[in-house]
Amino acid sequence: MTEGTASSSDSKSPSKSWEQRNPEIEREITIDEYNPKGTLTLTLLYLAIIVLMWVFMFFVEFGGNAPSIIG
Amino acid sequence: MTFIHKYPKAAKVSKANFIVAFIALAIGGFFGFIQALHRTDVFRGFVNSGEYYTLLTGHGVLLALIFTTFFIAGLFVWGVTRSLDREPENMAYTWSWFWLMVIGTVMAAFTILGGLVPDSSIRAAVLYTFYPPLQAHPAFYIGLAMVVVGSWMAAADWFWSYSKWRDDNPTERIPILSFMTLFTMLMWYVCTIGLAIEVVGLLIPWSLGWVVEIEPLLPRTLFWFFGHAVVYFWLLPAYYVWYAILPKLSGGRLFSDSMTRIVFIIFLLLSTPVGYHHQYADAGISVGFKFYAMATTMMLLLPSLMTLFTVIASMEHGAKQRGGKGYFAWISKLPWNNPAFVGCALAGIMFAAGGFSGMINAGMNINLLIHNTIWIPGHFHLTVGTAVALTFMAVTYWLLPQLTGRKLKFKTLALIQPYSWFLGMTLMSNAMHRAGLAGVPRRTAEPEFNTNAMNFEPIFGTMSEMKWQIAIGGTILLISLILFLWVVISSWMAGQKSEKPVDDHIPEPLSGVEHTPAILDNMKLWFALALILVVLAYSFPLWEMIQDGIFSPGALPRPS
Repeated sequence: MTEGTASSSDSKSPSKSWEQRNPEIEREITIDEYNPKGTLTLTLLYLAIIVLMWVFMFFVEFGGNAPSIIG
Repeated sequence: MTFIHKYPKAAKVSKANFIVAFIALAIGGFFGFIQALHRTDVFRGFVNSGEYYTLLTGHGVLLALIFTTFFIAGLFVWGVTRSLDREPENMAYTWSWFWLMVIGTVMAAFTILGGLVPDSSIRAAVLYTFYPPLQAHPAFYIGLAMVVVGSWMAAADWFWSYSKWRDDNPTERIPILSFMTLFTMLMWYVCTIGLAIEVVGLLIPWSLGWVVEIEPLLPRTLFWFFGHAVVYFWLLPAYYVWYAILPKLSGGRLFSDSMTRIVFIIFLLLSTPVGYHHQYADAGISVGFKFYAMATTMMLLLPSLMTLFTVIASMEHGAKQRGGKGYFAWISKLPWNNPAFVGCALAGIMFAAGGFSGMINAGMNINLLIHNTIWIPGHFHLTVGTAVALTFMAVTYWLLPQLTGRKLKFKTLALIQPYSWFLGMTLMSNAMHRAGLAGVPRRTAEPEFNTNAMNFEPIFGTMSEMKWQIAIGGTILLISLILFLWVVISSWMAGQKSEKPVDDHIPEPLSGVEHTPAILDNMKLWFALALILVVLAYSFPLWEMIQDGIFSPGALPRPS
């Protein structure tokens, strides 16, 4: 990716990764080490919420009321 | 060195686009504030109810069309220049599309604001959708057409840069920033075909008096051919920021290069053949075509969910590199004191909420519950008004130092701004959604539609409470907008100069381009497939509409 190297904040030491040059990074995590279990949990939580809300909309609002404004 | 020192010509173009975008944002945002107070009956002293529709048009056009288009142009000039490592090919050409868009904007804005001048014959109170039977001054349509043509020329400029870059790099993969830009603009070319036919072929001759009668359904259909895909023209640049910049701001890397490219390809394929989902309640269109639009709309949930996973995974990667742990505890390790990060993250959260109301809008049956109610503006204030607008404002805090060579000033105010926008929109939008469920209509200036006078029956809460949430939310949004403009203008004019005013490095993706199949870069293939899907969706119903003549009012529905 051209943009990564084109604007490196530390072009004098290109052998170091971005993580090694960034003081806020405690440890570099490679693709093999990374397990996005938090992401999976949040995604499943979101899906559960929207399914429940859709069921609420369909059975309580749509099933229980006539359409309000059409046209 | 930062962007302005390496690419001074492109930086100037980006800044010029941002200036126009922020002027439109300021005026359009102020109009929105007045609308919130007027329609809720909290304060009706700014305008009368007739002029309300002028402000409504100004709010929609200046924010949804002008702010977005100019900001996107500035963002893409930055991204293409940086990722291809080359300035625009011909600056005279580049400035020509910019000035064409500016002249078009001034013409359209002039006709809208003419509605505030008593007895003026120059008016354009036609709302954001601007289709018949509402009619504007011809200069309104001609001005908007110039903006669209200018955007086509801008896209051609980026394809020109890409073509030159390709000559020098025949075997390289398309850099990801340029890939996202080019696919967004391919989608824009496809969807604006409908708008061009509508405006040039129907509305301009009609507004000039060359055509006396016009059938409403055809221009309405052509508008929605464009009118939902334009949402993705706003949203994809926000995705661009979330994919390219947000992971770095989180302290990590983009999770997957190939996932990013696949998402943009799906949006190119499916953005346009979904327009009928805005016309579920329209007579004159077969249910089958509406069902086809519903199916393609629901399929668009797929790239949105892929984005949700990829962007959160990138953020989690950043948080874990900063010492975060567990299933949820890592969230606290994200940089919640960085305004650029906070704005993008809160915009993403709002978009997740907007995804739910979008699903309701897209369903053919359940759509009838909220059709033409204030639920709809509640929905697009989550998506366009927050997911897009807040992302654009937030990334400005990161881009502006690169474009001006000056450090950001008033960082505390800049940090308060996205939180306050989130708060204001939470109040306003949740009240709009709930009021919509109670049946409160949209597009009206009259306060009785927001109170108990019409005997609306909310599921919970009261109409009065919703009214005040909308007014207070709108006021907080105006304060947030003022904070944004104050920080931007102060930094632009008086920020401390620096060779490196911000860390502008973008790290490589965690799963890089070497894992991305080459076919994903085949623009001709995906563009051709997109056109085929559009033909499948639109050719037959459009043919039905023009059977009795393009301008014939014989087809239904026709206003009496």
